[in-house]
Amino acid sequence: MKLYNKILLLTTLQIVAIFIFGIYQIQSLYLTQKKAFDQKNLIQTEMIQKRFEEKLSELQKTARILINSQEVITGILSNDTDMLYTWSKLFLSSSTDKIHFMDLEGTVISRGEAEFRFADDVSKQFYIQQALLNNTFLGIDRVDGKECLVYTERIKQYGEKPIGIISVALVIDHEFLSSLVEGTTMSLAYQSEHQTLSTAKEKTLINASALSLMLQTGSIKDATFSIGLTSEKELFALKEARTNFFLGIALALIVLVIALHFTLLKYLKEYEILAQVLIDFYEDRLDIKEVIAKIKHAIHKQTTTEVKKIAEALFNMSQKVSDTQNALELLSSTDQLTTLANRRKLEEYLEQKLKEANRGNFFSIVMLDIDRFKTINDTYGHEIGDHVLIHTANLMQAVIRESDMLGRWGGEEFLLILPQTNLEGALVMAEQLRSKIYHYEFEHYPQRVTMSLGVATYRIGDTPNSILRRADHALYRAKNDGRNKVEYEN
Amino acid sequence: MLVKLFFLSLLLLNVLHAKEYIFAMYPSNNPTKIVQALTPLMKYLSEQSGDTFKLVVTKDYDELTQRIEEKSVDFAWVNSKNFVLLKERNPSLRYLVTYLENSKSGQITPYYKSFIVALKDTNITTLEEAKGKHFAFTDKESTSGYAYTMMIFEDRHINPYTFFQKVFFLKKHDKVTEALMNRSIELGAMSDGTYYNARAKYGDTFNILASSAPIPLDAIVASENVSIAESQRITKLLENIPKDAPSNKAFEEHLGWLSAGFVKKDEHFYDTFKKTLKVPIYETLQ
Repeated sequence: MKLYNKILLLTTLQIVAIFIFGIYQIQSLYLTQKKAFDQKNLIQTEMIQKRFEEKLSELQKTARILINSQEVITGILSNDTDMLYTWSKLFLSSSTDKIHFMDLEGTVISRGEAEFRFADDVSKQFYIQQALLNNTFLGIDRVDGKECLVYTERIKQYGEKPIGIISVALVIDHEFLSSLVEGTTMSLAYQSEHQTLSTAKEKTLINASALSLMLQTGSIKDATFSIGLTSEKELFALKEARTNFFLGIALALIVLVIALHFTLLKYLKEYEILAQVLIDFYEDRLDIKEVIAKIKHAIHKQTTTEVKKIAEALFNMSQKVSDTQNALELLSSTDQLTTLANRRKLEEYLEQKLKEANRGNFFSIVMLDIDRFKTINDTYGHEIGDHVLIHTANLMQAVIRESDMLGRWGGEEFLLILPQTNLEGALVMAEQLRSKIYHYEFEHYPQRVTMSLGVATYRIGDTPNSILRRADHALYRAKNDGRNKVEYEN
Repeated sequence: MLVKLFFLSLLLLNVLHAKEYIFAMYPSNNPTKIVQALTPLMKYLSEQSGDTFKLVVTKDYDELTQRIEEKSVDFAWVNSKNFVLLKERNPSLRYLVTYLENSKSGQITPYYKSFIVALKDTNITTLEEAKGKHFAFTDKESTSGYAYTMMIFEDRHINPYTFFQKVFFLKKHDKVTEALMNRSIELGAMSDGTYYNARAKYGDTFNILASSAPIPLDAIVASENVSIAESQRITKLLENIPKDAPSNKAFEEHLGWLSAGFVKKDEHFYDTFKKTLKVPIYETLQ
């Protein structure tokens, strides 16, 4: 697996682990809050139920207080509308919208909420009939055209003799519903065959349940009070927070992975370039010089300091390797005494020239040998012999062209390879060399030094041995002809 | 010197003869308003008589009656019913004057009337046509809103509690008007003043089905404490109150009464009221 993949995978795994932990935490928090939310709603529902029961109780209490008043009894008996109005007005409140006094025929004697509206017949009203039939009625019925919670009771003189009826009512309207849910987060709805009311703007309540009320069945069909939530705003906020958290973490995860991807790409690519150069070098696809060139290029290209430093270090190392290689190469192809190319180098060069000649080039070679060198060594010692060799090499080196290759073939024998040179040219060069040596006066060797030279030029199908043999034959002939001569192949 | 002594003696005699009278009034309205309304009258009487008139507002009618009987008050302002009852119980009670009012009808009279009124659009034009309808009195204690109305029914041999489908009591005259306008009742009893007020407010929308005999207005009486001569002297002073006197203005300002002073009538002027007391009481209390 690539380094990139490894880093990306490991880091992503860690982030995902954090994400899962976060999800777990927020989910736990959400569940705790949801439980508290449900508990609160339950308490609120009970509170509203209690308030409703208090309203009903208030209606009954008001009626009881009034019918226990002697003045009310007198008012009923004497049809004293004003007295009954004055009394009932005192008891009108937010919990009591209507107080009506009727005689046993159902004629209204007084309305607490409307001083001058009386004398009408309400005997056909369900709540009146129920009161006449069962003594009391507590339920929902239409009072003066409005749906109300109504409590009706027969009024009895001395607690025995029925003389009239009282009805105490609370109009079921938006205000009433609002008073029940005031200070809570719940909503209350009332639905009957005639009307639908709700404290909520929304038509349907969430988690709605019917209030359980001890009401007698009235004339209004299907009258129900439902309690529920208008909206799960609080829970929704919690859900939203949870979702936001999830989305936030997911987004952060994606961003992190993308950022990681690009960061890894950027850094690893730079490392990869350097690594690829080293791999290519190791697998011989690049030599050290190409390695140096590539690294040098990378140094200019890289922006990261660390990578740049690594590239620079590699560059220096490659440079040193190259220098060492050059030095070794030079050492392996150079004659230690004369500093000319040694025989191995000459053979390589000759091989190369032969290959080039096969593609149409041409060349010539000159085999040179210092005459009677053994005598110099024997007479003047090896030091002088070496001296002669060194200076002879230097003199020849000074004469030849830059493109020519001069090397020590062995002992006092030298080989000169002349690229792009025919036989005539080679003979001229050989003569110049012979002449140069011949006329040179050595510092530590008093005798004249001469050289014999054999010249051969390339022929098609030549091998190193064949051309060298021809040059060697020419040299042999020069030696045999008295030395200090230039001979060429036949 | 002798002349000076003579005038000084006269002054001293006058001071020695000056009396302090207690003038009592029943609480027909807010006591503070009654005091404010009657103070100019007290001042007038004090100035004109040379005596001192002190105003007392009793707690209620009973206290007023009791104090007249006890003779702890010298003069009293009483309504017609109380005058008749008091006179029966205390024949020595002296009638002085009757209150005069600028009636809403435009007349200055010492009396007013009770009307039985129906809305025009009910098409009830006579009392007989109102059978089986809803009727409202004001108050059983009311002179015009009950007693004289009952006299009308008596004259026509009508028992309102059976004649009408139902009879209500609304306490105040103007409430009868409002109940009529709200169509709660078809007809009701009210004073002529209330009727004229209702006309002013709602226009010519009412029919007067019946009108009572004149109902004497309140009277000022004197107890036995006050001599006949003194009674006559004070009567004269009360009769002579100018129309634009501060006392009349104070009545209007504080009580809303369009007072025109006082007039001395015959005691028999109140005899019609005695008739109302003989009208059968159709108790509804069972």
